[in-house]
Amino acid sequence: MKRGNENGILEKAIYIVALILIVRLFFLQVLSPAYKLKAHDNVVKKETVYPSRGLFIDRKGKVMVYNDAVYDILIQWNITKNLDTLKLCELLNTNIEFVREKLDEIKRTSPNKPTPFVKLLDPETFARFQEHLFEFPSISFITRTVRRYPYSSGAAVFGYLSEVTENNIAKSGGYYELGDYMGTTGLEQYYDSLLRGVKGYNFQVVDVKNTYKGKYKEGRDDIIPVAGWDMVTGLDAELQAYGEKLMQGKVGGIVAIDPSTGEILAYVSSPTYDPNVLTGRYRRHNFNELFTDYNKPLLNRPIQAMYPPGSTFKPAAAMVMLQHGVHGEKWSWFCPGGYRVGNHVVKCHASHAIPDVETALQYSCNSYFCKIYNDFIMDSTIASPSAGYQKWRDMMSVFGYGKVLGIDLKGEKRGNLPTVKYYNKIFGLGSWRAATVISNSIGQGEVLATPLQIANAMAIIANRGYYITPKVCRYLVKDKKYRAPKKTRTYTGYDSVYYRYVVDGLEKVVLAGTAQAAQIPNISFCGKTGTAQNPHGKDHSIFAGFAPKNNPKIAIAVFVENAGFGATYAAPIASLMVEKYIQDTISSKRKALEERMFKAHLIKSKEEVELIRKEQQRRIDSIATRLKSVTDTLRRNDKSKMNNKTSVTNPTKKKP
Amino acid sequence: MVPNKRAYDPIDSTVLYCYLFLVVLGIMSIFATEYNGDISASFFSLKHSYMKQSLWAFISGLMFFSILGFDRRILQLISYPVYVFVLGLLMLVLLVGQKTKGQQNWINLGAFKLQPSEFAKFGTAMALAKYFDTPSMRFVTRKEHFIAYAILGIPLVLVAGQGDAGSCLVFAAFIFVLNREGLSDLVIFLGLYIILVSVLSLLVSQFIIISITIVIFLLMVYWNWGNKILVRVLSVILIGTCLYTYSVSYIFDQVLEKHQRDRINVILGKELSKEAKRGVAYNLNQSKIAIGSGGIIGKGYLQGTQTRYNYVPETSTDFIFSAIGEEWGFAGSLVLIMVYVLMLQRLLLLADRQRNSYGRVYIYSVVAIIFTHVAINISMTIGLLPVIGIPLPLLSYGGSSLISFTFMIATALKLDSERRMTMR
Repeated sequence: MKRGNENGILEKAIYIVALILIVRLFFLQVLSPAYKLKAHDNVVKKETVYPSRGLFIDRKGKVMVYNDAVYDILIQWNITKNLDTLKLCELLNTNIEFVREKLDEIKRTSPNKPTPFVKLLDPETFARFQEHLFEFPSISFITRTVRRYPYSSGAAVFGYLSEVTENNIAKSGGYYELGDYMGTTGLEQYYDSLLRGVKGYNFQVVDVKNTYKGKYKEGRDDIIPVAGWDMVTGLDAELQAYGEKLMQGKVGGIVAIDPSTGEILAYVSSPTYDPNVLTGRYRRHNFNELFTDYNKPLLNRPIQAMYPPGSTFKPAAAMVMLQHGVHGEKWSWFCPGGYRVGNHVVKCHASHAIPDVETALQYSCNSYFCKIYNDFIMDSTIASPSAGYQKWRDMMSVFGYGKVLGIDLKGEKRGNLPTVKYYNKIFGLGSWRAATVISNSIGQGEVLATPLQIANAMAIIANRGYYITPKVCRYLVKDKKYRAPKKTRTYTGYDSVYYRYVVDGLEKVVLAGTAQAAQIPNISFCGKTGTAQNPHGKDHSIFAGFAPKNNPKIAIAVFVENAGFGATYAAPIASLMVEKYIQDTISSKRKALEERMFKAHLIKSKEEVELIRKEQQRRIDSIATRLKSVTDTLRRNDKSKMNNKTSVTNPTKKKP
Repeated sequence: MVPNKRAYDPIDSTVLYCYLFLVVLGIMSIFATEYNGDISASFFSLKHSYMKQSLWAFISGLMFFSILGFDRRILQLISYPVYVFVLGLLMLVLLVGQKTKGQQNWINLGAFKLQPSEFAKFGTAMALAKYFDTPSMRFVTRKEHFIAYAILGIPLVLVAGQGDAGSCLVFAAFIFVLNREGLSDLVIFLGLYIILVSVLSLLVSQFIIISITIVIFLLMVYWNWGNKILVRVLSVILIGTCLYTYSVSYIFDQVLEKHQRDRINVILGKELSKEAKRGVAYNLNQSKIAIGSGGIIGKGYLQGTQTRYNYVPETSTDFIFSAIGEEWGFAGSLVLIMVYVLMLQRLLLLADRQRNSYGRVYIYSVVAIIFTHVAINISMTIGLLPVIGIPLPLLSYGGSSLISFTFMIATALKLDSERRMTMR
């Protein structure tokens, strides 16, 4: 006999539940491929392998920038036990507050994976730390590379690397990731995509605690990094370092160009800094210090500082005169010691007779150049002064003034060669003449140029009629493949015969003119001094030149801010640079000069500048008070007269 | 020739093969979650779970044979003593038990930890069978009902006291046995109705539930106005629903512990605390990723990254199904479920061919226990039910559980093989 409920519900329940489970599993395992990806993401970790960044090599094969290993120290918080923080600080050379703060942050944000808490540790400290690494089982490290500069020079031209921003990442089309470093200034920035190489990746299998469990697919999917292109630059490592040494204690810049190739030989921005300080773990601190420095060491002066070119403008002005034919090379002029324009006099150094254009250059006669400029613009064959000025401007800009030359560095300024439109706006249409804008003739007034433009203009004269796009990079090389930057040869279109007079004039400047301090034994150095007035302080000392006279090997421009006459600092510095480059050594009789240039300290701290400014203000104030007392007396006299007048005129006014 | 009239049959081979399959698959899976490719002297060390489980399996084998050696009358005789003994153990747990994860269900015996709640299921099944085997028993009087409920109720209350929700549900599942013995289907439907109302009242506001209930009530009353009894029953259900709806939220907030609330919230897809997201929700998600990433044929044995590299928690015990789902895929999961269904189906068949109530009720209880374990365990790993700590029978790592299930099945097979020895 059977009792109870034969068809118990249990049997049905078993089938129903089994069916539910199978359907659910079918959805989960067969119809949801997303879970496979999630499992893959869980287990497979991508580790970036950084390629070595391209080296910088100078024109003689010396390495100017190479890579050095540094170390990021990582800690994985969830497996950390009994951490001896004090010892850690001692070994890593950090203070305890920093480590505590950093560990707190890691505890909060990413306790489950190795997270860097000391970045870019130098190899010396790391070597010491590595001996104790076994005492810290939760601490690991990754190797990174940073730039090293054996000459400690070229900060402005090489530029620096910094951590990428969100913006960089977006622009890189997915190449860069957070935490990567990229070139942000200088050559590092301009050639970043070639120098950086291509990152590689390792795929690893990790468990839930992020512990390494082996290679994913035995490393078959790994991507091997590709090293960056090495760059051979036109720079001369010795010359570059020498230039920076000469410019120490001074504000300004040097640009030296090989006129036959357009290669930059030396590129000095002063004050500068040791580029090694912007690598490694103290980078941020050092950068802030440089960034807030009163004398702006981060300003790339050779291409970004614009100065009035002063008398270095005159060789080009002479070429314009000769080419246009307003006066011949033998045109003579008696300089009365200045050039009178209305009430204003453009002063000259002396009163002297100038027999020809060469002599005018030799003695840098202001009135001669004012006169030829005036005669050019007011030339009766040209319709109007503005048309004349336009023509003069066109002919000057052929020398590279007022335009970007296309050097392979970002942020190049174009200088200023004022336009007709600008003057029409300032003075009114048709109501200005050559005399109104006479300062342009001697590189003053609104005319501005960068040191690079001045050096390039000298390269044109050295080449007798053309320049090649100035470039720092000579070529890039990788695995016997070469890439060179695109250069073009730009002709002035001036008759080559006229260059002879100007070159001869420039030679006389050094031999017997304003720059005799720049004479170099056995080298015919042609150049032009400049003393640019500037409204902010003492004149800028400028020199531009090239050497040797025939087959020139170097064209150079030197700017020293607030240093007085061009002959005082800029000319000797330029001559020492040229001698160093061509002769490789400085002759013994010029050692004293060299020493004097090394030691000259013209840079002023913020406090000194403020002191000077206060002194000036005091003088201005005293003059103002004296002026006021004079005007007050005058006004009192006037008033008494006026009072007399009003007493008479008042009744007549009431009449109507 | 002597006619072949044996007093007992050989034990049922289908159930035996299913049992062996599950135990072996269990050891293999535990090995897969633990083995790290290291073959050395420590491979056979007892510190590994797979070696311990093998030892338990060996002991289970011995137990299996010794139970086959018992006389079924002895088994019936010791039913009540065993029941009383396990109740004693359950009470002992409450006094000296070890607490892990809000559950207090271990007694530490030094070498291993005893989990009395596993044996309590076995003991309760025996006691219930014994009670139904009483000659006068017809399961109609109130007294009979009361005693049957008490046999189930006492261990249920004790495991509830341990905070062991899984075992509670297992004891509640004995309702299937009572149903088989004559309890109305309505009781089970009422149970389902209560679960439905509970889930709904956690999901939507009580006001909505009560409104809907009233509308349905009015419609039912309108259609069945003549049937006074039904109207009365419906009225009781209406009032009960209204009261229960309010008590659910009270129980949920006041009686349940935080981790239990979190586990329920995860399944219901409700807003979670940050802690729950990292804990319960993360674990469940990793389990689903493991099973889901297995695909149709799985990643292959020892290739399951999710379960081998500890992304899924408790892979050797409660989440052993994740490892099987990942390494064997949908095909493997299907086979596993089929094996369980086959074993349970076969046991039901054995139950029905028993000649006395003891055998029938006992085997039916075993089916109900195993079914509840399998259903809850697999459901929780794939996100159909809240995470409840309950082992997958014969697969999950754990000596108490393996030995307890071995007792149950061995006893069932023994009773079946000697069924002809009983007179009706």
